Amino acid sequence: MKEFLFTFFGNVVFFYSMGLISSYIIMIILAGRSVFKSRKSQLRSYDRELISKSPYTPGVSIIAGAYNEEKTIVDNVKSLLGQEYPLFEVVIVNDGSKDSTLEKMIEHFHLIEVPFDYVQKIYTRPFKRVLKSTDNEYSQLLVVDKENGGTKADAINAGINAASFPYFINTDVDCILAQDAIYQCIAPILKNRDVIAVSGAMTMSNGCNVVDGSLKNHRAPISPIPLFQVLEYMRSFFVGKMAWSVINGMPNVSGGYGMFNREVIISAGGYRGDSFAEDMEMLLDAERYCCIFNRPYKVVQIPVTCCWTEAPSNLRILYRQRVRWGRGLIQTFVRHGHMVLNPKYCIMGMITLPYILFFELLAPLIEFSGFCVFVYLAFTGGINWSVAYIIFTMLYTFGLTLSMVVMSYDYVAGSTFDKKSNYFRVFIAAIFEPLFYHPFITFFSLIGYMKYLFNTQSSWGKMTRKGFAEIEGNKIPIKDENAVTKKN
Amino acid sequence: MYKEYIKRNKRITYLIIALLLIIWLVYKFLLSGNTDDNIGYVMPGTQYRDFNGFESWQYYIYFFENKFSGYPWVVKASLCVVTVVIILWLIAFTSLAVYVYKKFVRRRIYIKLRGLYYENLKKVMTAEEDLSMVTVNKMLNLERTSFLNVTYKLWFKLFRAIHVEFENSISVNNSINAAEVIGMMKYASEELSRGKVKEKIRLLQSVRQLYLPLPPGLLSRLINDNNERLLKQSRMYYCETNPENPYVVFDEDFFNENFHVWDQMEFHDTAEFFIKRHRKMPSFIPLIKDTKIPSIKSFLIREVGYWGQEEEVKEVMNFFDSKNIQCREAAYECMGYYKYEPSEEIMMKHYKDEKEETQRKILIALLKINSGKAEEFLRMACKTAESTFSMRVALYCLLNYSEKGKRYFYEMEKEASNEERRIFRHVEDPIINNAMLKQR
Repeated sequence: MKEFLFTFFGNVVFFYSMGLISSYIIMIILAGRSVFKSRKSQLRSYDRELISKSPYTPGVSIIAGAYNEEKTIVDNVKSLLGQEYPLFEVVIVNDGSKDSTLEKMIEHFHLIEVPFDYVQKIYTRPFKRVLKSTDNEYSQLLVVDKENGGTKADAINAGINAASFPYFINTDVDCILAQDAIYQCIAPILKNRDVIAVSGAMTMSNGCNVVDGSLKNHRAPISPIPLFQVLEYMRSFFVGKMAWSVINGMPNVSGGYGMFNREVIISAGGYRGDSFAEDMEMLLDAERYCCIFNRPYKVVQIPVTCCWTEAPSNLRILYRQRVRWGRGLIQTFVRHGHMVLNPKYCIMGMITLPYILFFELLAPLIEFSGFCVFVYLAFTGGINWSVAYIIFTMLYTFGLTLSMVVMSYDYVAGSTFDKKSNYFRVFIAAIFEPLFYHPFITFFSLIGYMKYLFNTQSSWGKMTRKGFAEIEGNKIPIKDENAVTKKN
Repeated sequence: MYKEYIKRNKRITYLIIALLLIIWLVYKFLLSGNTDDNIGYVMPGTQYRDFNGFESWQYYIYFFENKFSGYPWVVKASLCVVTVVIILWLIAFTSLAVYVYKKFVRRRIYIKLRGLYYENLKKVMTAEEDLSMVTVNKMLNLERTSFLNVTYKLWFKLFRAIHVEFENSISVNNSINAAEVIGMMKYASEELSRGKVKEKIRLLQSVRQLYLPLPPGLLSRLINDNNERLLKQSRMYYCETNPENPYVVFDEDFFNENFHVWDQMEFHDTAEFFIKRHRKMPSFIPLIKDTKIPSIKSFLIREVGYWGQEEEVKEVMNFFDSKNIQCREAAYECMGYYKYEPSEEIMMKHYKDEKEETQRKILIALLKINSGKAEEFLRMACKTAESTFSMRVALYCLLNYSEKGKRYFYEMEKEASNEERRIFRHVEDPIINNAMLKQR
């Protein structure tokens, strides 16, 4: 009986892995076509010229929530204001910060309270006031001061309420955007009226130099955890999301950077304040709304790195982040379970959600149980090692191939880094990632699931921020001893 | 000499290489080792056998099948995956290596091109007087008379870079002469005849951006191409450059359901091109009547406001009674863009019959027309506004309309309730309004 069970389990795991590998191969092909196609499709200078002078160019609001960000707020807001787009505003939502985030902004940007007629189209925690700059240089800045809502979703909802343009970008205040980020994301919207959201690729800012809120060089991080995340993000954006985008089945537009149609998002109810994966849930809500009301929709991933964000730099912070993601994933399925295999929800219901349920939600469970069985069999002498080596080689070489492919896609799409040598670092990360990073991620996700199932108290993980210190005109990240904590 | 020959006769060179490869393969796989002496022959006293090419493949397949014959299917499947992965690696590496090499070469050529000709070309393109071809040739001081295709693409890049950098001081005539001297026009003609669709689109965008004229008749095939983007791009270019019946291309293939905002922007840009060159625009009214798609109808109605004649604007007023809300809204906006005073009264009459959103369009149109006769109406609109948003728009229009409007605004503010005063303060706040005006 025991032997039968182990054989059965072994076969299940094997078929599962083969299914996963096959799906990745399909994704690689779909994403590759899309990357090469988009690279050649348009002249950038032509696009820019047309967008910059046309009266039909829609305005875009950049919305970012800020909670206890005093260390970096001024640089970050400057970075957001540095966009090249002809018609945009930056809406910073001070989510009841307890430090001097707001004071720093008031002082630096010469903000004063204005009698803004704030209309609550989406429910949020009480709004206090709106501030605008008396300085013409910062006329595009609007600061919404509100009570702490405990989540990023609440802050972004307040930003959506105060925004005045038909499209908005949801980003984090610590994110640094490429100067042409809006140009890149608005193009798909202009070329197809059905596009309701555009996702730009993201990577890590750890290791890059920042001067006056803009990146002066684009380098891969040196420390291992952010470096592993660079690889992870590349895989997610350049293969996963690019492929889903081709079949219009995007499950998620990252909360770090994404452009949305404001009207659709308001109609879908905005971000859910009690969600651990508010970005994924919001997109599902928006897609559900479109399906129910027969509104054609498209969600597009562009193969261009638009946003640099600070990655968790140690295991403790990574643990908090991934536990929250794990929780968010399971919570999303609990809330949107009715969409799975429901033909009413088109590709999302029939392909994307079942895939995510099977290959993303269950993956940590299967990996962990497989590992336990492997350890048991190893101790009881039940392993055929020559077979095990071959299977391990297969999985390892496939993982490495996937990493190589995403690196080449990144390079072809325009390269995230200034120098090619940075890819060598990422390649080194790819060699060690399956052994030293992936197991942790699996374990953290499982803890996230357990915390959700056993209803452990919900709280948003704290994110330790690093500030920027000025050295000879350049600003380089330094370790902050008295780390400021963030609840969002 | 030899290098030059290869560059000029690329296709013949490739053909020769391919032929040599085939001869080598035939020799290797069919002839070598396939003599009577050694077919299936193991040399005596040794384990050595000379395989021919096909036998080697058979051997490897046999080896692959039998080596793992005793292993479970799991291992065989894994090996298949590893094999696929290795093939993927090879493909990925090869294509990436080719890509990197091409990029490297292109970059090197561009740097060289820029170093050699940027200053000369800039002088030619920004010269105030019209230069003859001979003078342009002298000024450019070209090292050679023809270039590789890849170099021509980079020439276009260099032209675009200068065009973007010195947009306001570019001399179109001199740019055309420079392009002619370099041979870019000849290259463009060839590429548009034989190139790939994407290359054609990019090239058309380039020539439109640089206002370069292509030989007439070259686009006759492209304006009816299957590819919609190419079709639209070539039609835009066609009507910009063809004085003989240019607007024939604006038919239902052009204004179809895939006419997105991007196409609207390009169309608007083309219209601006005409206006700048004092060329007559086509009459929009027949186009509006011909199209059945409301979004295109409304777009063309708006365009009348930007570029149309007074008679056309007058005609557009008929759309105030249209059953389609998009067309009605566009018609009101059109009046605002054109600042057409005679439409004021009619718009005011229609105000009450319209939905709130459309009412706001009427108010903004009235503000843009600014005839000085609508203060009373705007005051009434403020008082009867059904929502705070509409009230805000009405108040904004009243405040910015005229001195009298401003007076009305402050009078109303005194009478307003506390709740309403919030809206008044929002509207009159200079910081909010300045930002709004600056951005709009």
